[in-house]
Amino acid sequence: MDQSTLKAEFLKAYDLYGDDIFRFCAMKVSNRELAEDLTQEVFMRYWQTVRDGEKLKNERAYLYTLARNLVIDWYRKKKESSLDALTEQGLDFGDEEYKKIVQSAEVKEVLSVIGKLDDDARDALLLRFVEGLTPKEIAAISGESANAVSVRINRAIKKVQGLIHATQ
Amino acid sequence: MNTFDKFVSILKAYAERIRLEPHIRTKVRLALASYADLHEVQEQKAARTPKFGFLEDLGLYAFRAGFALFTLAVGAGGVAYASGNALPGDALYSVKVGMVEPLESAILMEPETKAAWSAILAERRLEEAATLATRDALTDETRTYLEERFTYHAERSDAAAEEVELSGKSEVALMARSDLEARLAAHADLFLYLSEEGNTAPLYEKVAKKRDEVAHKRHESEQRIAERTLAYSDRQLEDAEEQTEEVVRKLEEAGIDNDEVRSRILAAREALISARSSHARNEGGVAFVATQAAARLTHEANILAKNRSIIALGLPSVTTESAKAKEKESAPNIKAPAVTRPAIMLKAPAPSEQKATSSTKKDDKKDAEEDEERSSSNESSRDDDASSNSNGSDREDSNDSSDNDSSSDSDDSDRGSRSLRDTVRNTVNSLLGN
Repeated sequence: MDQSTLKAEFLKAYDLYGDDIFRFCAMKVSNRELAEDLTQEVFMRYWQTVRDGEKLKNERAYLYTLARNLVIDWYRKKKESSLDALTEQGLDFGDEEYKKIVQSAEVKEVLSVIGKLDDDARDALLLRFVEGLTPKEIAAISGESANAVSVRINRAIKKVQGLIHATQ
Repeated sequence: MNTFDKFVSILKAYAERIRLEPHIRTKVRLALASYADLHEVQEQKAARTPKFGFLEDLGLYAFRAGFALFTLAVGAGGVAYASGNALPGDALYSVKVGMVEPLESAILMEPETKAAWSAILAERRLEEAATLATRDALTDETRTYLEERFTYHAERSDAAAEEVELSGKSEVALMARSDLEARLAAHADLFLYLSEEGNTAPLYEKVAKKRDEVAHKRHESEQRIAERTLAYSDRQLEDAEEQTEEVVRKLEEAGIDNDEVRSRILAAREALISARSSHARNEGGVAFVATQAAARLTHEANILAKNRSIIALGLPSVTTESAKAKEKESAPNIKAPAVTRPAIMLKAPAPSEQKATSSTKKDDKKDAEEDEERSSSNESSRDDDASSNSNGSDREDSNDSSDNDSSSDSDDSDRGSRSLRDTVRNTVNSLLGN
C-alpha cells in the first residue's frame, strides 16, 4: 500500500477512534493535557506499526493496547493513582453540562465505586461497558483468553453490585 | 432497570462527555499527518531521494507548505523564483526577503511549522553573511542588518517552540529546538573559522550566544522527556541509526570528505553506540538523550557539508594511509572514514600540517588562543567537564613537540587521529552531560 493510501486510512482511524482513545486515557490519568499527549503518542506508534506493513486484525483493539501500555508506563513513572483525584473531584474536562453531571450525587457514587476496583477489573469494566469492546477484543488487549476476561468481567460486576449495595 | 444497569448507564453518560476539544482534535490530526509525512512507509523511503536527516525533514515540510502558497500567489513570477539565491546588495534580494519569504511564512499557522520555518530563515541570513564574507563583501552595514534579521527569525523560532511545548507537545518542541541549535552550532563554527578574514567575529559572538541559549532550553526540554522515558524501543534506536547512516551514504555519494563533517559523524556514531548500551541496560532516558545528541550532530554534519566550500577555503585535505590505519585500529566499533588533518575546531592541530597549509595563515600562538576561546565557549555552553582540561594538556604537548619534529606525516597523522578521537569523545561526553 502506498504512502498516501496508508496515510488516509491512518487519519480515518484517528477520526474514528481518537475520542475513544482520549477518553480511555483520560479516565485513567485524570489529566486532560496528559491524555491528549498520550492519545497523540498512541497514534504515532500506531503509524509506526502500519507503515512497516504489519497487518492488524483489529485496529481498534490494537489502539487500546497501545493506550493501555502507555498508561501503564506512565503510572510506573508516576507511582501514584490519579484515579484518587478522579473519584474525589472528577475530571475537569468539559462544558457546563459536563460539570453538572460530575456534580451529581449519582456520578460521584459511580466514580467512587470505580475507584475502589483494582486496575484489571476497572479496565475490564471500562472496556466492556463504556468502550463497548467484546471479551475477545479485551482479551487481545490484555493478553489473556476470552474466557478469563469473561470471568473477570463477571467478578467485577459482582464486586460493583456489592459496593453499590453497601452504600445504599 | 437493575442496579448494575443503572450504574453502567450513569458511567456511560459521564464518559461520553469526555472527548477531545475540537481545536485539540484538529491540532493532533495535523500533527499526526505531519508525522506520517515525515515517517514515510518503508518501500517509498528506499525509493525516494535520500535526505539529510530527520530534522531537515521538519524544515522541508515547512518549506513545501510555503512553496505551495508561493506558487499560487506569485504564479508565473519567475522574478520571485530567481530571487532565491539573491544576496544583500543584489537587485532581487528585496524580492526574496520582502515578498517571497513573508508569503511563504503566511500560511504556516501551526507553531511547529512556524518554528521550523523561522529556523530556516535564521539560517538563511547566516548563510548569506558567510557567502558574502568568503567574497570579502560583508560590509559592517550588511553584517549588522543580517545580524538583526537572524536574531529576529531565531527568536521567532524559539517563541514558536515555546508555544509548542506549552501546548503539551514536548517532543515536537524538542525537535524544533534541536533543529535550531544544530543550525546555529554549525554556523557559529563557520563564522569562527571565517572571523580572521571575513569580518564575521561579531556574528560569531551573536550566533554562539544564541546557540547557547537555545542549547540550554533544549537541554531542559530533553531532561523532562528523558525523565519520563522508561524504555526506548529497538525501532526507535534503529531509526536513529538509520538516519545517521543515511546522511553518511549521501555524503559518500556526493564525495564529501572533510574533517568538520567527519568529526560530527564520528561523534554521532559514538553517541548511538552509547545509546545502544543504555538501551541494553534499560536506561530509556539516557538512551533517549544519546540519540538526540546523535541526531543533532548528524544535522550539524549535514549543514557543514552544505557549506563545505567555506571549510575548504583554507583547509586542503591531507590524507595518509598510516592515518587511516591508525584510526581504524583505534576505533574498531566505528566504521571510521579516512582521517586527514585535524579540523579547525579540533583542539590539537598538527603543527607540521599548519606549516604545510599555505592558505591557513594562523600561527601556533593564534591557533592556541582561538582553541582556548573555543574551549571556554564550549565549557560554558555545553557543560564540559574536566575532560576539556585534559584535552588542553594534550594540545600543549602537541604544540611543544612540534618544535622538535615538524615533518613526519606519520606522526602528524597520529596526532591528528588522536586529536580527532579526543574531540569526538569530548563532544559526546559534553552532549551527554557526562
